[in-house]
Amino acid sequence: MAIEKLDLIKNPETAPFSKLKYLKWTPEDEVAEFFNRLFHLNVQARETGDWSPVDQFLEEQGDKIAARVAVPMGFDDTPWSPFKKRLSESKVAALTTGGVYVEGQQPFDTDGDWSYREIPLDTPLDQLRVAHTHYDTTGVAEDVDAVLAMHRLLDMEAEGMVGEAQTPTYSFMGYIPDPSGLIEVTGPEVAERLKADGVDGVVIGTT
Amino acid sequence: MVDRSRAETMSVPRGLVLRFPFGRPFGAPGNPDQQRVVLEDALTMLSSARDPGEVRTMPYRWRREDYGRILAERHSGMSAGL
Repeated sequence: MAIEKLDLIKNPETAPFSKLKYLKWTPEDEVAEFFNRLFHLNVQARETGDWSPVDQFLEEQGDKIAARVAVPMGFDDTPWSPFKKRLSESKVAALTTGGVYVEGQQPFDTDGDWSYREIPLDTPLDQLRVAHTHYDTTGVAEDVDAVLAMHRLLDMEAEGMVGEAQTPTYSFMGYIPDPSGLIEVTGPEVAERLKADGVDGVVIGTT
Repeated sequence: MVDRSRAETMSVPRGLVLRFPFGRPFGAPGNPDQQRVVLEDALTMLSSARDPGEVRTMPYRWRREDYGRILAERHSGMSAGL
């Protein structure tokens, strides 16, 4: 069966291929160089039987291309809070920027939205939804824990590795061309809510 | 996070870089062991990261790891160490 070009670039089995679609933002001469190098590496690999240089090349190119996709906001200062408690005595929250929301809530505006949604950890799976058009959401549609590790956190709580899993947790939709509202309003608001609930540590699943 | 340069530019306090496809930061859908390994790595960084802005790149090769075994080894080591 012939491989369709679209299937190839969408193939999530290989991390580099998930990024190669962004070649469209790469200058033409670099695209030519990319395919030239890829061709030669493949010829070599077929002769030697060692395909790892091809993998490595694709990984490197994938990273290079991904770095161009959208230049993130830069900050000079790194916020820092030392974490001194034992994890087994701590309250932990798992957040995401993956656009997850609960049925009945207002979906995120996928053209840019700095609001957030509360996600109770006991939300039935069939009530979870996702609104985000700037990443491949087929994974999260199949299993929310691919981006929002809420059930894995509950597992760790049940096993005593984590003191308590914070509920509700919070979800953002990471495509925010103008992040001033996030920086000034909703970011601090969610941080305050987490602090008020006694949360010691936060893990954010970014997409 | 998907790449180190992004984590560094944004000056995140602690960053965990996975060489996974976009949109699957904790791992593949339907692979709870993989998701658990990554969540534990992230939570471990809360206390083990010493300096602001530390970014760790994990070596996991997407689906080509036995995450169940990683967890089993990790947890048996932990209980033996306690």
